[in-house]
Amino acid sequence: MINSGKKLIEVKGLKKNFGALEVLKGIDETIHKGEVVSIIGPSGSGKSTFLRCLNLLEKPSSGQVIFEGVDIADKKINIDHHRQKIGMVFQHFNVFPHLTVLENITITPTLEKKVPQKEAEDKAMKLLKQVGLEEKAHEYPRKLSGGQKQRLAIVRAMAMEPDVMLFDEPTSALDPEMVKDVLEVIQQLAEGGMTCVIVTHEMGFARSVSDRVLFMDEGRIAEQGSPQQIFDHPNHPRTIEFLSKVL
Amino acid sequence: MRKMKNMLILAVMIFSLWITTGLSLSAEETKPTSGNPDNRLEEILQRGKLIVATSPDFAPQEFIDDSKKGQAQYVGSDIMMAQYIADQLGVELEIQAMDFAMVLSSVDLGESDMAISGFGWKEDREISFELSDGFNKTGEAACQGLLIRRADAEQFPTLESFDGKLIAAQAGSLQENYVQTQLPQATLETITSMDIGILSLTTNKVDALASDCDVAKGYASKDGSLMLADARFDTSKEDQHDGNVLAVKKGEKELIAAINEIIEKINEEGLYEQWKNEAKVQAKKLGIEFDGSEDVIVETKAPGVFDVFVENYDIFLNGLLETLKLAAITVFFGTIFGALIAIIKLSKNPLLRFLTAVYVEVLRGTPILVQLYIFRFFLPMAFPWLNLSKYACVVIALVFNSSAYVAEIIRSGIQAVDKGQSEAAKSLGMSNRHMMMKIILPQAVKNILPALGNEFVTMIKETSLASTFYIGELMYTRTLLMSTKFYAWQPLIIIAAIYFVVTFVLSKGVQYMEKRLSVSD
Repeated sequence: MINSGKKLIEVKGLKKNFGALEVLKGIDETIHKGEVVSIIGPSGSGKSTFLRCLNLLEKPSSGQVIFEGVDIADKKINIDHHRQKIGMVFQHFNVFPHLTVLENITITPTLEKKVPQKEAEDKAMKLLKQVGLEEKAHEYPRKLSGGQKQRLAIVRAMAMEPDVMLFDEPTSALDPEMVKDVLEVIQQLAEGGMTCVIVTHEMGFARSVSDRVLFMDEGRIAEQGSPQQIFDHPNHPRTIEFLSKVL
Repeated sequence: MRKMKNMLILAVMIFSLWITTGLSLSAEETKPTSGNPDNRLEEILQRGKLIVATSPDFAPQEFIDDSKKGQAQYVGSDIMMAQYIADQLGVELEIQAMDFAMVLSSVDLGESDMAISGFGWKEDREISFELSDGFNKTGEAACQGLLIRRADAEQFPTLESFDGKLIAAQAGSLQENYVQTQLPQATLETITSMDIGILSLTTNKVDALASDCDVAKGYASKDGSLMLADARFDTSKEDQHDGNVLAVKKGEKELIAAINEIIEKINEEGLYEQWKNEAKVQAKKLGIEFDGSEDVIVETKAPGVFDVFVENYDIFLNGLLETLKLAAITVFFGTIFGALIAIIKLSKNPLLRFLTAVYVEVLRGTPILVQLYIFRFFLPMAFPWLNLSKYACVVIALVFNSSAYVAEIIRSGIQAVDKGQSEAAKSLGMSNRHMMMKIILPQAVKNILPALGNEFVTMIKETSLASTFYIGELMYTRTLLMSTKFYAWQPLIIIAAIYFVVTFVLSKGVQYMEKRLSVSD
């Protein structure tokens, strides 16, 4: 939660088109190390697209995405190397169904970072303990509830020791009684100093956990500020309109 | 999952051993050298072998003795004549059996030297081939008549009584000639093979089937509801073009002259009648009767489906095993090729992607039968040094065809894996190769395996097309039993039943496999 002032991700003039449809119409933004930034807004505003441009799951149509000083949109760089430092958690979990819970976590560190198996498993068990899943270590994901799968997904991303975690509507596909558990995990991460960018509809959560809130509308950042500013004293008419509908 | 994988690997290993012991890839048949076209006779003498094409579904002239294997199974008066000709030329004889429709083209393409298969002289045939002088035209051997339903016997006392009736005759045969010239008021229905003629007759689609008297008697001896009509064709004209002829490639003057010399000898010495009598005796041993005079009503009821099955269950079993073997070989190699094609199709090179796309589209978009014909005839012409057997050509064609379908199965199996899986793997920083090998492919296999199983089941049915080329799988047993035992329709029902049972059981197996695989979802 501490904003160190160091630039982690810089986005300059980011535009994204899908065919004729302009989804992102020019975004300039900086994410600083230690920041927790929430992104809210109506559907179709481009929130997820913007998030996915940050680890290049979507390729920008124009503009730059500079991660730790490197333009990751450049074709010449090894994108996998940089992606290892950016963790992502998806709305639909995307856990690997054919691997056990433990294997889900250890597979990438052992394959890509050449971490020895035993070491990877020890670290994985520690992470599972933190989210209360250590008993499920040798189960297959089909035996887990949605909330448990998402916690697994978070821990899986954390195992790569990333510098930033991206969350794409992490609780939108969860039954209400599981949302709280997952939000708690994210909160723990944030309070532990992890840089987080969270696209969410959980306004209460965004308000309590964020350092900054970005309101996106029609492919642009319409307004941004501290949670208090955005939620209590919104300026932009679209922000006011949106918040009146959801709060 | 691991246990299934091990079982699968074991099955593949056992299977590979089994099929490689049974593959007859190089030609048992001699490939005629494509030498100087006007000197076929020289070629034959040099080669030391006369290659004769025939369709052995015509007792007593050419038929199959299924108690023998290889060349010895082809018997009949025409076969004996071919042997005599070969002996006179001082060479060995090789018989190539095929569908009647392909016999003449085989000579035209240069695949065989001579065609003998109950042909009659025809003007348009004379234009495209060198036809020999006539043989098999004297005495009672020249009896040509009409096979009718016994129930209609009283309707047809004379030839004239057939006016306005529908008469079937095999396309290009002597009998077709007779119908056209001697029954101009009747309607001719050309058929491609005798068994279709029999079926048409017994199902009331035609009124009569023009046939050699002996052949007709043979069929009648097996099915008491049929009989040889009293009315006969007039074969008394002593004409150079009477009787049967054989054919060689157009332009081979030396060859046809040599053959005609031999035929003159045969006709003078009455050899063909001797051969025919011998052939009838041989046929009798196989249960085919020719000697029943028309006066004696042969009241044998055609055996039912069950009886035919019980009598010949070993033939059907062998045919089924051959079918399964053929289908298994096809899908096995087709999968290997298909996987290769699928990988190449993912290449960054646009030319490679284009070529493999064309490959897949063409092989999936054209009928398998057409592909079989093309591979069967063009492969040996294009790569004579490979010395490919007929079986190998057919297998290669089926493998190529299967590979195109497998490539699509693999592609769509991979694409069916949820997009989120590759996104998760990418976002973790997994390399493309690791993502494919560890995340995507293991999950694609769940989609691919059942589809491959279905491809195997489909192939079992498609291999029936190989019977066209006299490859001895299940469908071919129909041709076999037709020519050796004159069973017109019973084998068809048995064969259909066998195919059904096999494909049904295997389909259930595939469904079960699908269920087991999807448990982890």
